Amino acid sequence: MLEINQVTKDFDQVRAVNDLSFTVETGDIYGLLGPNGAGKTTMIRMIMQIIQPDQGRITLGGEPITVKTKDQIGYLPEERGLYQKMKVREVIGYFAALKNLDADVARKNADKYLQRFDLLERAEDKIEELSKGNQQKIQFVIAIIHEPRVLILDEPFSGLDPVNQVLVKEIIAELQQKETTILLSTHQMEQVEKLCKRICLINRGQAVLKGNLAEIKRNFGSRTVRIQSEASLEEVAKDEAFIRTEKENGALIGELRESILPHEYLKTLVNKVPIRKFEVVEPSLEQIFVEQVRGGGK
Amino acid sequence: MKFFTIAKWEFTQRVKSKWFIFSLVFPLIIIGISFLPAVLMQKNVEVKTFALIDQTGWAGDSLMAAFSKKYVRDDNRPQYEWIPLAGQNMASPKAAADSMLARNVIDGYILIPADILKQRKAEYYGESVGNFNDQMRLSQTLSNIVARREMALHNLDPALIENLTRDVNLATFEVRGGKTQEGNELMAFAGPYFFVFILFMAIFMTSQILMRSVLEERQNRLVELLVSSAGSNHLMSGKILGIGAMGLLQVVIYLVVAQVTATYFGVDLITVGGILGFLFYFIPGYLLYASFYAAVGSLFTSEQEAQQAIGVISLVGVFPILFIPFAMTNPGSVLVQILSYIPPITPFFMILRMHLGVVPFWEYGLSFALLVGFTYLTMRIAGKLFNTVILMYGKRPSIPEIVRWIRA
Repeated sequence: MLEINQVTKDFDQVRAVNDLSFTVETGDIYGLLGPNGAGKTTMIRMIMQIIQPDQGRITLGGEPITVKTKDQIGYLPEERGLYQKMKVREVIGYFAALKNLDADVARKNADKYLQRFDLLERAEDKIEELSKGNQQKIQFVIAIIHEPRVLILDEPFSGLDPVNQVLVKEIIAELQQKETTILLSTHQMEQVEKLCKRICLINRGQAVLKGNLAEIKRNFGSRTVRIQSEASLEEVAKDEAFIRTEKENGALIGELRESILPHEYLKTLVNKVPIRKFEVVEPSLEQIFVEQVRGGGK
Repeated sequence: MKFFTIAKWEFTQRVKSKWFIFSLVFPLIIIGISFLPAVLMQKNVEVKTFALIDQTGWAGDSLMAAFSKKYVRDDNRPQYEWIPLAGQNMASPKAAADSMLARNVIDGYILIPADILKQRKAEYYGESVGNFNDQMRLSQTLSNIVARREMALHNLDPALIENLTRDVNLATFEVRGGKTQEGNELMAFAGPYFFVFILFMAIFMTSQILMRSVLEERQNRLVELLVSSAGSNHLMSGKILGIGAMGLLQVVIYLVVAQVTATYFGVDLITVGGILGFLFYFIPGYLLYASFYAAVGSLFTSEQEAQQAIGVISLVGVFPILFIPFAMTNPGSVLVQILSYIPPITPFFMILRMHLGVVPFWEYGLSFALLVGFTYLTMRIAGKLFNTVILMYGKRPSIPEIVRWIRA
């Protein structure tokens, strides 16, 4: 279990992370979301002890993270690259050695994962001879070569084609089954929806939304309605019952004010326009994300 | 120890590279090329032709005889050929000589005036008067001839004259620490140059490689992964150690090659004391510059910017090399002594002084202590800067920002 407890970090005049708390349960895939500059990377760097928090505690299995326990964490940073002139196997071996992994085990694991990514026959090639996508895969192999207890993935899908995205997702799922605790930070909301059970959305260093993803969506969805009609919905869109509306494929999607329940609104709506379809919709995570970030986080 | 893993990686990757092999061969080629002209000069001396206008009737013949006896090439041909002009029936021998000089028939001409005994003056004309060697030989030989003539005019016995004008051969001895040994001019000349130069190359080339390596890891966005696995202290110290070990290996190879070459020429270039002294100053000297270069490497993302920033610092290392001739002629100078206590140049000046004469033991101790203290301070500051900026990208930090980070 990875626990982040009331962590705060300041840089000069800027509060990058503000009193942030969340818990990643063992064997869980946890989504850490937020716009650019929200403080995600700063938070991850504090977990990796690259920088120290000004306040708060970060623990792994109840213990503070030490140099030793850090070897049980795998990390795929967003800022990532490889030694271009070196051979694939050498580079993987070097990073495995930095995680104190035995050389024989490292070689065995490297072969296993290279095979998995269809790169085994390129093990003796220089990194610069590989395509960008293949280099990404090597970086992923480096993050998991020591089969870590905790895996931190910062934008793991960027730069990968759809086929390899699926492959990475499969491997993430496999690692989860082996009780690996995974923290996933990404902008790709559809991947989070498919992989994560719990999320924390941060904006300006603060958690603005946190908890079980299905619950969050249900809460948001209960006041969002989708209306279809043969007649024009222009007038309906201007209705004061809505906080905001948008059009989608001829339908009107509107978020109702907090005091108005969908079935109550339906009663008034039937008198205004002929309705073909009326449904309560769950917003996508992306919609929630955009709304939370635009709305200033509250 | 993770820094050891990093050091091992840096060392093996560098030593395996083509660049390393090139770096071993390149200086040897340079040394070869710089020795080649000297060797060629010794083997195949150019024959020079001088015209001679002798107005005395006695000095010219003696001059030509003395030269053909004294200056002979390896193939037994004389080094100088003469065209006497005075005896010939011509309006002006000087005009004839000038014309020969203009047509490159001769390399120069000598005019011995009739009153040389009284005035002690002769004249040399040439296209260039920069050849000190020829002029010195002419001046010495003529002085000798005039002295003999003077003695003969005073009715001295020819045998006595011969004895009086014999050359004195100056033998040289080095006295160090109470021990006297036959001196070796070549060694005394080449030793300081060689060791200061090797030290300069070892320190600056190795530090440059280190800086490039830090830059490469920044440019390739590898730093975050390395720092997250090993920590920035281990990263910096591992890199300094690994690349330093490569630099040391390089130096050892240079020294072995130099010793083999020197032995071939019968010179004892490398001594145990020389090696110990070298290491004594190389290690703190390298650590000083390496930590500084590593910090500079961490401040920039482009090599061009980093090189500009470091350019001035490399001049600090060139300064002692420029100073070698002065130090050689004034080994006991107070200035040289003072300069050897300025930490960034201490290694170079102490190595230089070590090869120029005996340095009191306390001076080694004091200069070394100052150097180590200064190196420690530099490493602390550089380490702090490295830890702060290694993961910062984007805008180049300003001087006030850097000062603030160091103070933090």
